Amino acid sequence: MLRPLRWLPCWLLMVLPAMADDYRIGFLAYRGEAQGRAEWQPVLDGLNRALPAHHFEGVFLTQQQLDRQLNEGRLDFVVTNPAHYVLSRHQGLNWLASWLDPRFGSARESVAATLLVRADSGISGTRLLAGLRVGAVHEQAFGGYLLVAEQLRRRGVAPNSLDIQFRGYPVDALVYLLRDGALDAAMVPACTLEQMAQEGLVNAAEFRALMIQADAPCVRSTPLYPGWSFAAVDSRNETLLRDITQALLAMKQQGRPLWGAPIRLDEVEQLLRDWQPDAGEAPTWQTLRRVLLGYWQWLAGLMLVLLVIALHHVRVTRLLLRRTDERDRLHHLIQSREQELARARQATLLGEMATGLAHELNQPLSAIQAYAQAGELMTGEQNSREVFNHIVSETERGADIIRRFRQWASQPLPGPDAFSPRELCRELAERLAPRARAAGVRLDVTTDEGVLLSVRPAVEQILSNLLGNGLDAFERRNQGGRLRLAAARRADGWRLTVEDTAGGVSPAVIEALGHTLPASRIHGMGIGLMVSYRLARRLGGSLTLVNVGEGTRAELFLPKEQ
Amino acid sequence: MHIYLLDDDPKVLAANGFLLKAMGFESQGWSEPERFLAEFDDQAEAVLLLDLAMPELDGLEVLTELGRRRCPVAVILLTGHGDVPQAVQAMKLGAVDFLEKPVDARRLAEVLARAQQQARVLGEQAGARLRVTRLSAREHEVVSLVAQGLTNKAIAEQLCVAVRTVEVHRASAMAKLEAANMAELLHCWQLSQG
Repeated sequence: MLRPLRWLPCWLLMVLPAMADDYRIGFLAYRGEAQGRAEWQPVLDGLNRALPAHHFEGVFLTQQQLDRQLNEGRLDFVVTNPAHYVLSRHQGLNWLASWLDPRFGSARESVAATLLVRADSGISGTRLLAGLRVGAVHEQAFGGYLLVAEQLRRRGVAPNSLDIQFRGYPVDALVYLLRDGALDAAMVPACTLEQMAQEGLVNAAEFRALMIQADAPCVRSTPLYPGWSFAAVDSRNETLLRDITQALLAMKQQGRPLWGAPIRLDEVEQLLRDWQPDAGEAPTWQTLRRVLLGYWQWLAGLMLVLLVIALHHVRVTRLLLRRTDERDRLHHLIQSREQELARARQATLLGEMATGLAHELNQPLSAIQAYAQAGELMTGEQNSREVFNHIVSETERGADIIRRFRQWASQPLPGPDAFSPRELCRELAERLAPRARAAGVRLDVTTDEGVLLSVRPAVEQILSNLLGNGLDAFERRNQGGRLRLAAARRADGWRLTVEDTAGGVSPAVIEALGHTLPASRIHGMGIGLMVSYRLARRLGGSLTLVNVGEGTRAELFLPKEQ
Repeated sequence: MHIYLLDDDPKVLAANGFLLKAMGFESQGWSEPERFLAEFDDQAEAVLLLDLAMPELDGLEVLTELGRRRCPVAVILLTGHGDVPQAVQAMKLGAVDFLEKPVDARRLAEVLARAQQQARVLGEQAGARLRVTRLSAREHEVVSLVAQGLTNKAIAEQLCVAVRTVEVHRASAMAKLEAANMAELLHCWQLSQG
């Protein structure tokens, strides 16, 4: 109530319809009250001149003081930087004009910040700042922190990797601290250094800026952002607002306007939005982006190599699976064929044993029968005749048993089929290849083209027995060699040869094989060989065995016509 | 008539010999085919009881050799069980019959009788062949034409000789073939050809 009273004479003199009033304009004074006053006094004076009915009083405050006074409703107008304006918008600020900084001449581009280091420090790039003491005014200061921090973040330097010290207003103090070595770097609004140098406070040559951006009146480390704003706290007195705006827009310095129309602050809002949520995560992303951009050729190459390796791996795995399947299938096939052959061999063997047994037993039976019949013929005595008669009939019964046994044991061979010996030989070689390899035996197969009419399973059994005997011999000697399987077509039939270099067989075996002897009389001969010999005969062919060189040659001959 | 036994098992050989003796036949036994082929009288009519399964030379080979020599020996094969294919082949080679061991005496007696019959035929054939070999080339020619049913005159025309000459050759041939008449001549000729 005191102040209006004091201005009362003035108010009365001017006889203005509106009531003269005191208005408090809060200026953000980042360099301290004295500097702020010096800088903004012309504006205050201009307003007071243009609107003599009102009195405008300037208060020069730090950002925090401004906030506090705004909250307390003690300010009518505010002149502050755009970030602060955005941050304080909830106070209901009404934007009247944007400051056209004479140094930049544009409202859109008139605020920037500079990251200063001492000229004689070895800090040549932002990367070297890690862990160093970096001074700033306040965590919400626009030019004194946010702009530089954002720029560092874009370059992959996380603010939390620095030892940031918030030293408070005025900004000048930061420059002094830097100069005196209490800080290694300082974040200050652009032009601060130049102004201080101009005022003779510091020597600009002692400092150096990092991240220097394109030419501007002042050295700067960040792009230019929209400039300061003049805002009204209370917008109810529209006439006043219009008058003030007009006065501001009319202000000129050296023929250049000082205030312009309010401009958009999207960039600032965007910056604040990016900054607020999480200051720690973005640098990671920035680092990643920088690394990606810097090393994309290498990364692409690496990815390509990895891709190739992955593809190769997939291919190898698929091949492996396919071959494993194939091997399993072959293994099963070979096993089942071997089992079939073993069964066939057993059947043949049983037949042979039955034949031999039948023959052997038949001989004494024949003798008994002959004697009994002779006795029956020779004796005149009734009782003796009866006895001999019994002997004869019992002998016949025995012979019948043997006959039935032999019939049961020896199965007839199946009918002949036309087949290719070449194919048969190839099949056999394939089946025996693993065993031959293990024994160090080279398996050679030479076959003629053509068709053979015979019992394929029997021929297969014979050849398999002969090849098996050869391999057995190699394995017994524990010495490798050569095993040859040949199928040659002759005018009168086929000659199938199995020849080894495994040391030969005993002449006794060869001799025994030449005779049509029952099984029990063959000593020292492989069962397989004996069975093969009998089978060959049953097929209407022949099997001969001779020792040649250092091995044995077995020849199975199967005539065209049986 | 001789009865030969050939079996590689001496015990069986002895038993069969004993049986034959009981049946009233004398027999001679061999256990080695080679020795048998070397020692037996290949001109005499005989019956051979031949074992099919023998080492060295089996029954079929012995049979083939007998046929090759045109011996008047009738062969009865003794086989084990189931040697049917070989038995069939043996029959083709001229065996009288085959008996499965152990041999039944009644069947043996019956087959033996047939074999003796055949041995006699074989003997006659052998005799006829022998007599035919005595003929001269011209006599041989004349007899073959006579056997075809030609008259002396027709033969004379075909051979471009006189009828008389034919008659002389014919008489000489009848004497050499020991034929008393035309029927005997033809019989002897046919035997020699069979």
